[in-house]
Amino acid sequence: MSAISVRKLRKVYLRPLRSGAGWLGDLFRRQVEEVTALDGVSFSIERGEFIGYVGLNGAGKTTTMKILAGILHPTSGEVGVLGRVPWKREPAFLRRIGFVMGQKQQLWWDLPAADTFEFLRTIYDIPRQKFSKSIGEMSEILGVAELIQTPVRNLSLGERAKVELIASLLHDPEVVFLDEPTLGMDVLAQRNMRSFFAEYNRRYHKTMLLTTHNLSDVEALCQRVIIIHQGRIIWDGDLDDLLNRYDRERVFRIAYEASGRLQEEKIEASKAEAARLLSEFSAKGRVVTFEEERLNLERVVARMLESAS
Amino acid sequence: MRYVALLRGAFALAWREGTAYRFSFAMSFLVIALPFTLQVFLWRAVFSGRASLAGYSFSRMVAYYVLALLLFDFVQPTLLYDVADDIKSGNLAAHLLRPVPYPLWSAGVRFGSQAVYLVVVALTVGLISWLLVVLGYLNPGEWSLERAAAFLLVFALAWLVGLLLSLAVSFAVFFTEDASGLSKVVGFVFPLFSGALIPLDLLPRWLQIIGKYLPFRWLVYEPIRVFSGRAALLDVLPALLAWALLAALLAWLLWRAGEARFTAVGG
Repeated sequence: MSAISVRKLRKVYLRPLRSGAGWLGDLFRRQVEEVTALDGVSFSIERGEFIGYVGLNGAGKTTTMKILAGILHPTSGEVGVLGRVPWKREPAFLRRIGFVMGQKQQLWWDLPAADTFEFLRTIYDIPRQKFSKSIGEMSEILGVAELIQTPVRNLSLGERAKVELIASLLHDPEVVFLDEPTLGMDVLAQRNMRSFFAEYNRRYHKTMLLTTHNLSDVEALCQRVIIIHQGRIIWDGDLDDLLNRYDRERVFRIAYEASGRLQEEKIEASKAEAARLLSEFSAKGRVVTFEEERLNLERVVARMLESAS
Repeated sequence: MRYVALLRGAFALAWREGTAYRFSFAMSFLVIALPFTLQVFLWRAVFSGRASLAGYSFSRMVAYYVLALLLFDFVQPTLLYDVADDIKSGNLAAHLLRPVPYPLWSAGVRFGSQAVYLVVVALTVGLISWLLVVLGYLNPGEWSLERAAAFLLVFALAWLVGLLLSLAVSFAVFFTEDASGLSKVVGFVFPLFSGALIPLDLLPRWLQIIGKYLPFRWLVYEPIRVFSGRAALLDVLPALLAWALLAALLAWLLWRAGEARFTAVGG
């Protein structure tokens, strides 16, 4: 059985509209328009998979995750997560999922994280030994072991995100949703977080679904990528296959010296263009470096979304 | 059993947060005591040259206000800012992920933070009462231990009704986005019809009649009457229980409807 299965999922929101009837008219006649956030989305995810769920703002990523976690009702379609219908929100189901939200916080601002952890231990019925072990392991990998006794308000943004992460995973969920987990973090914190996720997925064999605007995270972590655009899935498959689709495309980095100044250019073109580009730039001046590299995920996704729009 | 643990956990969190700021904790004493002192002076002026007013002697009137001071903040229905904020900001989603009912969690948090406050209020009221006895404004001869115990029981129940009504007011945020209007109306109506402003006996007749159909009189006026022996415990208890059930039902219905709405749009 798949950990997650989604069939023909649709979600239509009603968005209030200014009617132009004036403020008094608006008060009595609320006009709404329908916005289709998800338009027939289907996929399935096996246990232990680490999926990158990629798309532009408003593409439907968070909507999908919220439906899978049971905090949003779909308009139509079938969803099974660990064999359950998520939006029934049975306590037994909620104990088995975890949701890391980059921009929401659940820790109490004025108290040390340890106090909130203790509360979570109570509501999730976590045995004390396992509880201390999880906190110990996670805070060590994340390097925040000495911070969980500090009031949350005294932590930096990155530190706070890490203790929030521990709070979200404390009950040892089988399926983990990561919604922009590295939002607003500096490069080092991001890298630290990334190696944590890799380790967490490998060591505990968790099913993980990640959305992020930082596609290098996806490139480093996920074997499989799902791309959603305007509520529809336009790619679902191996990361390598996705990158290979643009196998013949290259990014050329050319540095040349012209009229005594060093100039650099970055050009996206097909592999076959290499000779033409080299002669073109040789005509402009003395070519100092001429490098070509394959498209990274960010460029591939940009290409796909451009052609899909 | 798990729900008891949940309430205890929420309580512990709120208690710890309530005591995190020691200065504000200490300042609460003054905030409580000052307006009260003014009231005592006011009634002393009213009672100068007369022995009783609507059946109250001066010392009974002072006792009335001491008890109203003790009760007021705990039984008053009010907008719970944590709840309103969770709903408006969408942070409620994080709570919905937990395997515990949100109303129970917010009740536990409210109860915890109020318990901290009760310590402050009870100490202040105790100190004030002792001063008033020394000054001769209060007459301990009018009190009885038995009636005081009955009062405490009624107080606990009135507290519960206030808490449930507060939840109902707060869940209205699901539908109005801005429930501060509603809480202002309650904030205006409650002191009047609960008897916290003046004893209900002193209100005009038509206001008294309106007040009969509201839950508020059972939260301040009647508990004080239990203390002074004017009302029997068994007269007040059934009404309070009935209002507690009604308030719980109202809060639950609003929660169910609000939750359905929230999970339709996703906050």
